[in-house]
Amino acid sequence: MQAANPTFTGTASATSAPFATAHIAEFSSRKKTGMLRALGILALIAGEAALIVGIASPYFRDSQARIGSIVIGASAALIGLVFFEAGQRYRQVFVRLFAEGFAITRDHKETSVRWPDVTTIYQAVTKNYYNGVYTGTTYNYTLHTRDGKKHVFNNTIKNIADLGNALQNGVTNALLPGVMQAFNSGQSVQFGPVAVSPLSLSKGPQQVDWINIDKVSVDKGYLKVWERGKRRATFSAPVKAIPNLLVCLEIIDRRVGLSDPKAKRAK
Amino acid sequence: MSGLLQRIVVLVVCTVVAAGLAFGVIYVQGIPIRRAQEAAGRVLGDKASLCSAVVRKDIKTRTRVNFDGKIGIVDAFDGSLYEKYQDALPAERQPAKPDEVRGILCLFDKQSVFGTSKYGNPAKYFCTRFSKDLEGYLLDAETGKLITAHLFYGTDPSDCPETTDSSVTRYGDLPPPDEVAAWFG
Repeated sequence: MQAANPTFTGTASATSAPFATAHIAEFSSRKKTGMLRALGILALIAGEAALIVGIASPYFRDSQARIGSIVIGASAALIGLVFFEAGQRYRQVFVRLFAEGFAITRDHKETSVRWPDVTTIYQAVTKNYYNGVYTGTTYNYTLHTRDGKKHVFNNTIKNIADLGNALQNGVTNALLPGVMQAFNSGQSVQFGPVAVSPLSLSKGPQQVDWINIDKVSVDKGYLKVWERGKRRATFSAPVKAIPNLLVCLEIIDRRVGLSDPKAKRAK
Repeated sequence: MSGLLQRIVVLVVCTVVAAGLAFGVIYVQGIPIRRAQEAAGRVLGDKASLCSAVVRKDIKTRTRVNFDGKIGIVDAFDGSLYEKYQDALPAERQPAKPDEVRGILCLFDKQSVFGTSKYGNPAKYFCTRFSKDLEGYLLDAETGKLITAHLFYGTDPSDCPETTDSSVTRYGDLPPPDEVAAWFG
């Protein structure tokens, strides 16, 4: 049985041309990072200046003051670098969703991506607890496009959960027909560590035939597969390692049904 | 401009600005010292520079000196007139012009550990007491030759606390000016 790439064989690469339709939703980063960069640059200049004074000034009477200037200067410069780098990485971002794809605007430069041009989407959603108290959820969606570019969306964007769902739906709708066609023609489809074939669901050497599958669930960040008559999951795979998770779950749902409510929610 | 190039440009510009700022600070830092050096030049002439040739040694003696003539007291750290101590000399010891100077007293800072206290068992915090002493080297103003050396003890640092929840340091003060003036008898 031949393995197929779970991607739609669409046309063209990511394009910067605008879409024909108006956008249906807009998302932006939480805060302006210009202030962070400015603070970083100020701290960097002040830190470097203190460092140079500490090293070069002939007017320090005792070595403690000199060492203090060097240590404080180096620390401030390092903090400045970290702030500046954080500001650079998380510059103000706008994401506009369209029926045909999405457009990202960063530093007044817009890049648009059509859904068929996305080859994979990874999601990592982690609920965080501190001493048993829920402290928030971390979202990370990573999309790879045909032209080799990577787009990462995380908690720096407001309403990231909604954006993530929209991205998942857009990519899944674009990829699913091609993947289903490959699957229905007898090919095995690989989703990272998990392979889906017309006869079985497998992870590496661990394989369970569809007719023997009791249930499939998504629980605590893992896709788990139970075989009939077994008390423990036959295998599991971290969701964050599975590209195009919703496409994978759709095939599983159509083949054996997703009885588990969490898996249905994820789908 | 690519991200890497932008970062390099920002780093270079920041470093250039910081260097300018730093040398400005160093210049300003040096203004009072340069003024004091000029003052030393007016009172002591080129004899103020004799201190730069002094070879420091471990001074343990506390001897009195019988030295007649006018004295210039120099802060050996920067070659400036040590006005705090110079002003404490009696009038007959104060030179009005460089020709009158017979001796140059070069004073070097010497910080030493006066005592240490430990807190906790095993020791978790420390209190370190430092004294600020001055090493004095009296030179013949004409020849630059060392006449005698003397260690002027600074005041005792204040006592350590009975208890503490962090490590602390205590510093004493420099020797009182009248003590230095009294040394010449």
